[in-house]
Amino acid sequence: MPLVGDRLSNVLKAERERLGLTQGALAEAIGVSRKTINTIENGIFVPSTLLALKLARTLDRPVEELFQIEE
Amino acid sequence: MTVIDVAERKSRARATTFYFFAAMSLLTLWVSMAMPGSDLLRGIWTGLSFAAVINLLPLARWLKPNSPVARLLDDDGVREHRRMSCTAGFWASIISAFAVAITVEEAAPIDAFDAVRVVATAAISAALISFATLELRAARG
Repeated sequence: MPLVGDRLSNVLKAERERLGLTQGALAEAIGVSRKTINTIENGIFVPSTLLALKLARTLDRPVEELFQIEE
Repeated sequence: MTVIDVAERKSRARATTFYFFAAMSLLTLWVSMAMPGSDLLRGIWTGLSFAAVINLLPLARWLKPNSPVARLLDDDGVREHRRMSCTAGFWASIISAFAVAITVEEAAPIDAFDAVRVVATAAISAALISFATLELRAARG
């Protein structure tokens, strides 16, 4: 169970680049702004469950592969 | 130009406008307190503050719920920034309220309306500056 102070890491940038998508293209595909994608990739913004699931669907990866709790 | 580009441009313009509103709100407060009794300056401050508070609301999304650009201007990231900036505004209002209380106790009495204006200006300016900074920082990189 995540505790206060736990950090969420992600491989969003690598997966996005694997598909040859820009931040803008991914943002357009899931209906958010480019800066939201940027802040998620940089670990500044923790996305909602809904947004995480949309990202997983668009990048064709299970959500737990995209996001991990840092040990 | 894609809808993402349009939203990004409007978002930057909004952040710049927020810095302007914050600066003008602080400036009109300072000038009107230096020149007490000026109804014109008090009126300008009231108008600016009202406009600033209205701009902090997700108006575009409320007025144009089906517009893709309006939706992007109030997406998950922006809503998070709005929450964080409102928190900053809350703490600024608490700190300024204590500062006003100390000033009234230790230095000189302040007109009740001026005290309200100091607290409101601190809250609004902190929220605006915080929101604009978070938005511009998120757009970088």
